[in-house]
Amino acid sequence: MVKREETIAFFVEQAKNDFSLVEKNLAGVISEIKNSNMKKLNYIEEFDAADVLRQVAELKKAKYKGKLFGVPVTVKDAICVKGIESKAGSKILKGYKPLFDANVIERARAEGAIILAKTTQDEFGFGTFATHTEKVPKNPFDNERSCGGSSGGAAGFTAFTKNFHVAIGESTGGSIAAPASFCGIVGITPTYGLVSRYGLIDYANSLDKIGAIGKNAEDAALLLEVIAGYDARDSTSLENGFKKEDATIKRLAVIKDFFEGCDEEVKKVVQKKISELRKFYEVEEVSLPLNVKYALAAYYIIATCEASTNLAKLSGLRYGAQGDVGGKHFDEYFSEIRSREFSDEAKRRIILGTFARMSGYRDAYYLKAMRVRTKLINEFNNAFKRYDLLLNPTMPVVAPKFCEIEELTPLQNFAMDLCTVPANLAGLPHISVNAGFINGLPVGLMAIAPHLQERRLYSFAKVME
Amino acid sequence: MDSKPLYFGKIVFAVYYKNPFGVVLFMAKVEVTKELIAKVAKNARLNLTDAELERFVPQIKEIIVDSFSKLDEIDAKEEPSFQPVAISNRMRKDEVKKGITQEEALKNASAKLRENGYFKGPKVMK
Amino acid sequence: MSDETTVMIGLEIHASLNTKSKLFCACATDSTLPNSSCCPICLGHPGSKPVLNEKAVEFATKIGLALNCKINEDFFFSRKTYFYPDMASNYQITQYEIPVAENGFVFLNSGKKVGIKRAHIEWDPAALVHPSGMGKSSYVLIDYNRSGMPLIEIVTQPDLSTPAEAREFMNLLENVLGYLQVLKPDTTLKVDCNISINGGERTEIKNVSGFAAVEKALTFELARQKQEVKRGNKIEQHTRAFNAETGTTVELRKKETEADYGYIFDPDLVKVTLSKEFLTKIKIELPELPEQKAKRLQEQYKLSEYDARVLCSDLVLGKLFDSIVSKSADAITAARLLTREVLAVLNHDSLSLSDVDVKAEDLLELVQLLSSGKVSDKNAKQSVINYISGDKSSPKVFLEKNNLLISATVDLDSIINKVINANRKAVVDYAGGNEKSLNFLAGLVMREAKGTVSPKIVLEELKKKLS
Repeated sequence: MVKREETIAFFVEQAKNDFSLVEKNLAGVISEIKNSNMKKLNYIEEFDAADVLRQVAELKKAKYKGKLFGVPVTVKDAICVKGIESKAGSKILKGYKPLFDANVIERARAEGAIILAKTTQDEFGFGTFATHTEKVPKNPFDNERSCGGSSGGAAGFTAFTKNFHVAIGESTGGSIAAPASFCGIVGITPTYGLVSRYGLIDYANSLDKIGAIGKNAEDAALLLEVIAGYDARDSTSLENGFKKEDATIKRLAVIKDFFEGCDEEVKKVVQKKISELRKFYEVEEVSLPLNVKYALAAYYIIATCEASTNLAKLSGLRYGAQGDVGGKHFDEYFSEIRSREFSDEAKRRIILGTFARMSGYRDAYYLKAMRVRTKLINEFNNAFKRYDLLLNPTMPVVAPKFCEIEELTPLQNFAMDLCTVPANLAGLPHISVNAGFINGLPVGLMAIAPHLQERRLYSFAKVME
Repeated sequence: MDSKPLYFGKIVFAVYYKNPFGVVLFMAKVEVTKELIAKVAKNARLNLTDAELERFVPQIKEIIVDSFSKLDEIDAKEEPSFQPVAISNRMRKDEVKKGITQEEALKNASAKLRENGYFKGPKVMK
Repeated sequence: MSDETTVMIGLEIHASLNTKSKLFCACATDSTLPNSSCCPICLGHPGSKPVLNEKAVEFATKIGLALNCKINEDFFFSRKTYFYPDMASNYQITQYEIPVAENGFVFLNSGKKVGIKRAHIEWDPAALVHPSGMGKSSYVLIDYNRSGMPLIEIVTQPDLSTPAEAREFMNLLENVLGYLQVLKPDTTLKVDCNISINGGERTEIKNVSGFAAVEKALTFELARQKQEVKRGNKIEQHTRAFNAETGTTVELRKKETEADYGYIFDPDLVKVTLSKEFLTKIKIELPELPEQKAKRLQEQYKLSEYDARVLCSDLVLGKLFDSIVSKSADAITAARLLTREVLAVLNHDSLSLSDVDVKAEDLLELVQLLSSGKVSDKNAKQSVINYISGDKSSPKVFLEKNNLLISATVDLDSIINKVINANRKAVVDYAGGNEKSLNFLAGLVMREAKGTVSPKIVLEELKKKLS
């Protein structure tokens, strides 16, 4: 059970009447950030102390005190904050200072949030373990293990901090749920389109969703409420918000196929938690055979195709890593910068994505994947005719050691996403909450709701806590 | 590809990538060769060193053959999903909004890549 | 000996649309200082997102309808990925599988039907400046003001058979687009010309500006291909550039090295579905198009087909006509004056209407003088030559100054009496039904009046006198 005094809502209520609480809390997070031991944990990509102090000074004078008044919010590096270096975890964007705030930042600021720092992530979101970047975040439960990715820094810091804080993360194939699971906290990935992508440095535009990470479901839900909403500057932004009607949940189903790829210990912990739920809900089983067989392939084809075009613009002109053009032909200059600054993982994904949409392969891969995606969304929607929520383990394992991760092939890396990818491909809202521990390492349980039924996820999470 | 249990410490770290037939019964139609990957990389303006090619070819081949080509198994006559939720007709009125100044536009360019209000870029003639 | 070569020519035309803001962002489309009309979207800054300009869709639909195309009510946008320094994102947002309009046609003056394959919207890349000329610069300078501007790309079927036909098609197309008022002023149409002979492979001449250049480039390329074939060489598909100064085409690159564009649906944009209301509104808003106007002029003003067509094939000429007839009843005289005298002078001096300052009021005065017989055709022609190429004074002023108007100082009545009295036989013959005698008498009158009277007036007055 989460105590009321531990929630952000409670903090904000107090802070509105006593600004010193804001200053004290902020001093707490800043000292954590500056602490040399904490620095080694690599959660923070970019922290501008002067900018933060300026925000606090403004906030002190503010007449309107919003829902996140005085709350320090960290932001995944891929989300643009005006004037603050935003690299999406990649060397090729070194020095890029956006000329504008992302919509989610505008909304957070309007509700009194303090934009504290940028958090570390896999380059452009390419990864499940937040290892494909220079600053690799370390799991607060065991520093030799991964935080999960790609929003590793966001989850790591949220779990680590002893102060009030929430994190804005982002998920393409599971990058909010995976780190939430490995770090034992709550991550909510909303319906695709609920939160504006204006200002998000793209991984895969039809799959990227900005979401909320918090110590508990209430905090995450509060943040999500603030950042969600229609934005005319994002053509894929939904005009309707999440459904406000009754969020009663009666019947849940466990997606049994997703269990088969999971570690035995993880299965046990998750199944035990689910059996506790039978006190409150009807719990049955459901099978999603098409999703379990084809979601990963369809996802990675679409994601790499879109990513390979998004990353085409990164060629050493106008911003980020730039060189000397003098005398070079553009093929030479572009290739030089790109080959030097992109990591192996980025290069592989660019090659895969370029391949899958090339003439001769485009029909069999890109177009086929786009059609299969429709099929898979239909399979989910059919299941939702009978069930209010679907459940599965968030990740097939607990946080692995970095040395174990190095042994995996890229394909084995992809395969770790087997539980999170289907919901992400279908743009369905989902939440990961802690279900227990194995040898002190957190295990996540994931619940998936139909499009725009985020409120069901909150009710569920409350019951879980 | 079969299940591959890896034992590390006390935790069984098992990664399954389940092939429904247990064994690879079909051959993917595409032939993933070093030449193909080098060609694709060049198209994407990536100069791969020989070492990188050596490393990447089996990795990429595995992904294309064991994962991507799975889609060959099924028929899909459905309409493609541009986005996972149905959205259409997003347009804006033909109105001018104040943009950024020339200085702001050039701000993120390095000093070497600016000249008299223009951005400097590499030449186009060989 | 006739030339048995079958020639196939197809054109891809790019035109800038006349919107206030760019295609996917709200930047202004007019600006002078480099990089002063940009934003993160048209600069390709990470995190920026495109939003479609509805005016561009309207214009594209109008263009499609004017070219007799089928309008696709559901369409979407694609990313065409290729690397070039003028590409802000190294991909172009365009339309691949489903364009706004397709399968249309136009008719040339000869009656030949030219198919329009498709018309679609796409964004323009940035402008490149080569500081020391294209071949010699070691770097380029880039101005993103142009980046993101809306373009319409119109692709014809390879139905054109001669370079002259290609030029005629371009004139026709520019005219239609002018009537629709969809083209950005002070911009030229850029054309990629494709040509093949005897069913062989085609060559593409990229980025030719202006209709004369199109004809020249195709003429050169046609001759070049014929020569190659004569030498026993096979034509291979490839891309060429046109050098306007030398009038030649040069090879740019071979087909194999062309980029594989790897089209995907642009995932930042969504499907567009045109509603019935929208299509109805556009159809109503379509102005009278050249073909329709030509028909109307023939019916309404009894103009000849030739005059009507010529007046409708040039927007400025047509506007002059409209202005004059709105104030004067004599449409036929006005038409003839414009299509013959005015155009003759322009052609002689290799000028176009936009080069000279021809005002409707001035021409209206001349038309009125001609209709009321106050000036002869010969002198009217002189006044036009002077108006366009001489001292530029208005025709009326010129005629008055040089005493060329038939005013009351010429006593037409007494001249007619004199002639009638001196030619009794002709008068009698005319009374007997011989029309030729009337003309004979009229000729004498004209000679007596030293050509200062219009034949029409003379005949009228003679008839009156003799009846």
